[in-house]
Amino acid sequence: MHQQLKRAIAAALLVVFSIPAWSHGAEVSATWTQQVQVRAVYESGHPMAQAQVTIFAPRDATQSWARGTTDDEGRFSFVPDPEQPGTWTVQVWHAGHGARVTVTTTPNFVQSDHAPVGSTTPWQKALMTVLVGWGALGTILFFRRRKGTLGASA
Amino acid sequence: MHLPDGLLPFELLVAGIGGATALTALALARIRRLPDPPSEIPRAAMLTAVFFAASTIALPVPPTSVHLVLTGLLGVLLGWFAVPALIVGLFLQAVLFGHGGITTLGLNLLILAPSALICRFIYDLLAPRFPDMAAGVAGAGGVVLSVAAFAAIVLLGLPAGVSPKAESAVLLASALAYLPLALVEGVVVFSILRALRHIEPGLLPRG
Repeated sequence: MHQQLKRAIAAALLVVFSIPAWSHGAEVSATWTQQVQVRAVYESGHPMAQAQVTIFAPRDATQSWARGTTDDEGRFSFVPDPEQPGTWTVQVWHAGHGARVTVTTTPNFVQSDHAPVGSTTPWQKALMTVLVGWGALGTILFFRRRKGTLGASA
Repeated sequence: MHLPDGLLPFELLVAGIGGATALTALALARIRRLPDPPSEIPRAAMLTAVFFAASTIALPVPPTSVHLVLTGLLGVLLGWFAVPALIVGLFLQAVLFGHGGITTLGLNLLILAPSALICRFIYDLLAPRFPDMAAGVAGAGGVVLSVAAFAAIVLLGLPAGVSPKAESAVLLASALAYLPLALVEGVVVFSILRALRHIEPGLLPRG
């Protein structure tokens, strides 16, 4: 009798403590994948926040494979389909500004590329601006002198 | 406010090149009818350099920054000469700075050049009676018209996969960021023309 009571209590406890396990059932699996991380910034260095991202798979460069938006830091990530090795195109667009970049995947690795936005330093920009200004000055002087010469010859 | 290479539909790029070619031909024909076209070239060269350099100046308008446009200034001071000046300026900006693109040169010209010409038209209408107001309106109007043209062309030819609804909302917010710049450019053109009237009246627009 005492033994039967113990078994009944054990069975009841088993049922009671099993309920939470049923109601919060979870299944976790872990798989190793490679993901593509996109970072989009303006030439000024400001992130392209909330920009529209369109992914084109290697098999079809005209229809989007996936779409999304960048976060506030201009970041977006996706996992390419391993069944489609090749060149993936990532397009980022925001308020009439944007760029495309390609990412090449093989079954074993991902090789990334980047769009050369903001590839000039401020010093290079300043130098180019001065040179264009110098060219404009030369044009101004040439036409002024030409006019003066024509006026003198007339 | 420059459309980049490699994203827009091919048909739109072709239309942009066609429209820009027609506008340039019209501008050159009108320039040829001027009494002394070569005498205008120094002024055009000077303002081309100013337009080119202005694209490197960014004004902070939180949360973003905007670049000077100066179409109002070019339109008022150059008239039809603004068209070749903008072609040269846009080409140099694309090649040297990566602002805009070569295939989008036509579209970028169609964003800026009509704005410059309309500003000159408005200036000519108002200047005889209200010269200061005409300068301010032309300066601010250049930014407003350029932003409107930019938004219209962007919505006409969105790249594949871009949502028109989301892009419209973003463009509207972006256009609002340009309103302070419109005021700034209105004051800039007003100040420059007022100064020229006193210092060098020869550089003022000629009818």
